[in-house]
Amino acid sequence: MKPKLMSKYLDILGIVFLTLFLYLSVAFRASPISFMNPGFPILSEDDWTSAPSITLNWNEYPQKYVSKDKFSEVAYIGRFHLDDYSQMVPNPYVPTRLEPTNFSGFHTVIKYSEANYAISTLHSNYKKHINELKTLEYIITEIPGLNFSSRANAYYIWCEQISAVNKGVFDTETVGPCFYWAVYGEYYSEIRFSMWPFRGDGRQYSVELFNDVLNRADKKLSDATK
Amino acid sequence: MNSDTANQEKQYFGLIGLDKLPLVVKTINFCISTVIGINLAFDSWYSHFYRGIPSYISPPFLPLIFAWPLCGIMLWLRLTGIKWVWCLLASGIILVGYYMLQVLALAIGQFIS
Repeated sequence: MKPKLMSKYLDILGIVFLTLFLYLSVAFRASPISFMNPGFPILSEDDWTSAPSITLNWNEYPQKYVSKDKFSEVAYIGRFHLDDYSQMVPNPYVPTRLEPTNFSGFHTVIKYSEANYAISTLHSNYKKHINELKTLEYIITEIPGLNFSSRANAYYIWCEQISAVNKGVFDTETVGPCFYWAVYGEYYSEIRFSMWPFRGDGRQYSVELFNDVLNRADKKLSDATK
Repeated sequence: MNSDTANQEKQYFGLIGLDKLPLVVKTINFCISTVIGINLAFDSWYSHFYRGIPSYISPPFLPLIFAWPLCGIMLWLRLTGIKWVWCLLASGIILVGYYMLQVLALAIGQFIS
């Protein structure tokens, strides 16, 4: 009778231990970042499963940085590029070769201890950026023709192809970098888009993809504060 | 006859009573679960191999990344009446099977490139 009882307890102990371990591992596997820092918004491969023609590749997988002064402030920085295989364009150097429309993104997200800090960072970073560019002081709050409207508490979009000529049309022929700064609650997000690996010379900037990325990033941010 | 019945009632057949399943069923379960486990392991772990272990996970938590699907398969096998020794053996087979698949995948990758 005793060995039977022992094996029953061993079973219970083993199964509880494995279940706990399994729960923790699934939590890590599902979203390790969320597990370590709940609500962290960033683009992940899972965000693109609904768009099979688009692939997300990390040049540098998001790295975590913790503020030395305030441990509650955490920053994540990642570099990625997106390839849109539904829009193939000729390579500018080898025109016979078709390449997917793509661009690279540099994404930074900082979670501050207070929402005010996030807002002040948004304004200071934007001003710093504009001061560096000096002559190109034209900010847009929407992407013409794409009906993008952010749900952020505060946001800026700056695109060279619009801003440089101060016109309200997104010129896909003139390829240049775009910036999107946004704040949701305690989260500050900054995305810099640029063509990769080629610039100009007939490469088409995928405006739809650009808009799609912004919408997904925007949704992630808005979900984070819920 | 009565004492036999009483003894049978006292016998322990696992937490949900599946230890008394026929040996054939257990063997089939063991084989299928192990094969599925190898595939799940490849799907889960290979990305960490070529991308590297994410830096944002603290070292003490790293083993948790590799707990799936080992814990899941062991849990499933034990609940369906396989003895602990065989559960551990299945884990070992999954590890070896994953390693072989990884070597195969790298060889194919090198051949293609």
